Amino acid sequence: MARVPLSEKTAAGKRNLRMAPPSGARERYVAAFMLGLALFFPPLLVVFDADGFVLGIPLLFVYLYGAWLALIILVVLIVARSSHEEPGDHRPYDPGREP
Amino acid sequence: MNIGLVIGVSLGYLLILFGIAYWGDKRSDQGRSVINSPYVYALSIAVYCTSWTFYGSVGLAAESGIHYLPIYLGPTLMAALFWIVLRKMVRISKVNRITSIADFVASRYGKSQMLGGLVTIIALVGLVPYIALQLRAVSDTFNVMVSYPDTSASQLAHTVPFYADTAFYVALILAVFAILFGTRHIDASEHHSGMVAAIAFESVVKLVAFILAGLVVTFVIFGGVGDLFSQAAAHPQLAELFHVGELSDYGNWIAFTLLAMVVVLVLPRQFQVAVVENVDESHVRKAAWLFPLYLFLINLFVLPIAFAGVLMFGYGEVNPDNFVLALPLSQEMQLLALIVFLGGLSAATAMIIVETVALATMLCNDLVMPALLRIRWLGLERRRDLTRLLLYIRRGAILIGILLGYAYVRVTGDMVGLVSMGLVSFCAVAQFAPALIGGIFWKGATRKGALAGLSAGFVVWLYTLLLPSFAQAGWLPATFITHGPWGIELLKPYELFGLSGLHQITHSLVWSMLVNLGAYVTVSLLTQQNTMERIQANLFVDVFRLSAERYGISRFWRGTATVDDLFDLLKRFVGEARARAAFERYARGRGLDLTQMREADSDLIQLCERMLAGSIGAASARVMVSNVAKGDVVSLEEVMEILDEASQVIAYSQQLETKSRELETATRELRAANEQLKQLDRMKDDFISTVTHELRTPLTSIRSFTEILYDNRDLDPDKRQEFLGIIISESERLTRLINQVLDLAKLESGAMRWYIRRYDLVEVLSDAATATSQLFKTKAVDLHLDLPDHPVPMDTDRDRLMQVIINLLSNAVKFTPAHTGRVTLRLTLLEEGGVKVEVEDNGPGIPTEDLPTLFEKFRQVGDALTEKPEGTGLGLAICKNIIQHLGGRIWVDSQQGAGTTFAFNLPPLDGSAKEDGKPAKPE
Repeated sequence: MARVPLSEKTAAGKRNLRMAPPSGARERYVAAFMLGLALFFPPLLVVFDADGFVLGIPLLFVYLYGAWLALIILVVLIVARSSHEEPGDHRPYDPGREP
Repeated sequence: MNIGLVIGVSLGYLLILFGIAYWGDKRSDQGRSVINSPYVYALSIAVYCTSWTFYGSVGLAAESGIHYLPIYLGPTLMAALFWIVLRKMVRISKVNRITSIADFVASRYGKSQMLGGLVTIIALVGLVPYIALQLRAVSDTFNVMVSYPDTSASQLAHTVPFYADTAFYVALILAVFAILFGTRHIDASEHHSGMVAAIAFESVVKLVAFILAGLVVTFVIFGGVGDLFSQAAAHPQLAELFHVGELSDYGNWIAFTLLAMVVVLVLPRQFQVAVVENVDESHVRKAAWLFPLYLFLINLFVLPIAFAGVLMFGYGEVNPDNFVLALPLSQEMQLLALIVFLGGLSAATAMIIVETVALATMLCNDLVMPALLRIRWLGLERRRDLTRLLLYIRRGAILIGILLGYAYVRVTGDMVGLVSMGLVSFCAVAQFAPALIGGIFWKGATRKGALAGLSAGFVVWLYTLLLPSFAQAGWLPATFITHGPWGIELLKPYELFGLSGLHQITHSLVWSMLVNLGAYVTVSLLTQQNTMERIQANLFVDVFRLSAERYGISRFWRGTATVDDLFDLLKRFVGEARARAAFERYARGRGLDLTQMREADSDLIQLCERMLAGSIGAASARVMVSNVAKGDVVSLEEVMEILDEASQVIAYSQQLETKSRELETATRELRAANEQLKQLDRMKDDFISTVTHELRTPLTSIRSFTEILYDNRDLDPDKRQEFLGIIISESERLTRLINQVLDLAKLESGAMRWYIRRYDLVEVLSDAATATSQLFKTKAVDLHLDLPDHPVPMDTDRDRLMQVIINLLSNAVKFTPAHTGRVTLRLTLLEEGGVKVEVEDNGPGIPTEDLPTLFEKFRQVGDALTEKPEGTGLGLAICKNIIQHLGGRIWVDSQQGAGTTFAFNLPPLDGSAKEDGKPAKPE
């Protein structure tokens, strides 16, 4: 006798709370954003806008590009290590269904 | 370089691009899409880097140093928020089938066509400088390639007639390619997989080309990074560029960063590739760092190349915008120069293709078609196939967009640097940001608010950036800039209200954003949303919560219904048990295994529809099922219809409920009245039968004894006396009864005549006691009088009062046992005036349940001794009537086995003491 499938997701969804707990990723992204603002704007910007060379490159350029790369790496870490579970998670994409 | 070579290589490259696009579309049609990769996605977003990045940054860096960087830092910051902002935009667009940014804004604010049209116009006007800068870059670098080291050609470009102008042909060729890329057919979802594939390829080309140029310039032409910068440090002008600059430069820095932050989402081409063309939400995650990484890499060598250019050419000979190309050419590196040129061409063509396709979509869907559909005589709604018309409109739009860009190139000549042109466009499209970003997070944002903000911001942009550029081109008098319109200094376009010292862009940004945000928020707070707006606001802001049970994005694209969908739908309306039973029955009947079936076949769909129709009606069932089958959210019009129906039904049933409640009440009242009537009827019958009986009994006696006396002449004289006595007493009894009935009738009809005079109550009571003394003596019941020893005057009707007392006394005698019975007649004066009269006996008492109805007509208490009710049952009723008429109250206290006390009170004399013998006042 055939059993009508109650998909796992509906069953799981029923067990979930109505209000999903805030995803760990969300807050970290906002934190990374704020960090970026702090790094790239005055006053930190003014601090590093000084004379001096690092490995023959002017300090400001080293700072800006360095901070930029650091921020990117930070986002990589957040993407890799945070729970991105949110209500409405997708199923693995089915290429046969591409419109 | 040989012009033929350049043209040939360029066209060849464009054909390769076209081939990639074609292949990409083909694969997509087969279902094996090539763009289903987060890397392709991120690379397509890198269309953000155009000729501006490739050439303009170097030009800006050569003159202002690090100030090219905010344009890339901004997007990096926004990329950190991609998962929050961009993902929401992607989800909303999938759920609501959105095809452009104008569509998005219009849809959010209640499907407002006016908003859609406004966004389209702003986009068109605002993007003209941006398109122009691409055309300029290509034509200038083409001229450089062809005529280096003679750089005069590009500087005179704006003076030659258009048919000799390279830029014109560049524009035409690019228009053709854009049309070929983006408008070969109409796709309802506005997906252009092939175009995206080509764009991603171009992003790789431009990155590779630029890095290659950078490496060569730094390590081959110069001796490495350290060498380059130490040479720059020695150069007086370059050394200054090692710093950000003045205070106002920090202001510009911040402004440009924030500007670029929002623009990376609201530029029509960015929206197209990042939102519309997105195939998988999870790609957004990788893009959050891939895209900034790309920006980082492509910007690595901007400063080295810029400084190298200055060191090599100084300021003036070569336009710094062309350094990237000029450097390899100056070193006879033809291959590298060609690669660089192709890189720049990539950058420009990618931008133009995507931007004009996006613009064409908007122009067609949100401006031209709505306008045409309003013109009734065209009869467009009746045409079955509009795709040809749509295609032509879009192709026309692309052509117009590019030609407008060319016009702008001619107008501005080479007065404006590439980056400046781009920034003007940035400011224009940034006006979308409040309405768009506000719209997805703030439910209270209203359509009027969005309209107000957009219009106000656009007007300010026009006034502070576009118009002055016309003045600079000579179309408006130069005094417009220097002294304001008609000499009004406060309205100087670059220094509005005296705000001076800012970069033109920063100045425009500050004012336009102030006005835009201010109007948006204020008007939103002050205006109301209509129903459609409210629904849309909820759909947008709560999109994750609303689509939570639908397994995310891929669900919405399925064109058929799944078994799961139908089950969920059915379960919602007929309950899980019934739904399950129905499905199992269906599966059994056909020998199917529903767990293996993804898609529901049409029979199952019909079954569901029929079952639903039983619960919610056929029309609603059809809507629900067909929308599940479409894999779509129920459209709003349909929801409204269903809601309308439902609310009508609810209203009707509420009316029914009220009616039935009223009916119920009426029925209850009627029933009660009926009961009363029946009771009265019964009582009337009882009364008639009782009275008849009571009348008949003495009559019978009288008749019998009279007959006996008549028949027996010589009856014993004692016997004769006895019989006569009986006849007399029975006649008296009869008379009494008839009198009582008459009394009651008179009392109740108000026909009784009352004679109110002043009497002494003590006297009245004594007389009554005397009248009944015989009864007491006969039954040997003790009658005790407890009366005050002074007269108690009272205005009353003596006869009636006597009637009451006598009745009470005779009742008391009747119900007390012989010999041991004791009856007390008591008169007490009350504190508040008035009197109380009590008749107390020590009889068996009255059962509690009989007490309440004692004073009603025909109520008789069974005599405990004889069990036969004595009297007519009218006596107490008459007493009550009389006492009430005299202004008093009558009641009884009794307990079974503890005697009975009948009592009544009479009100006090009113006014001062009256004279005795007042004439009677008949009632």
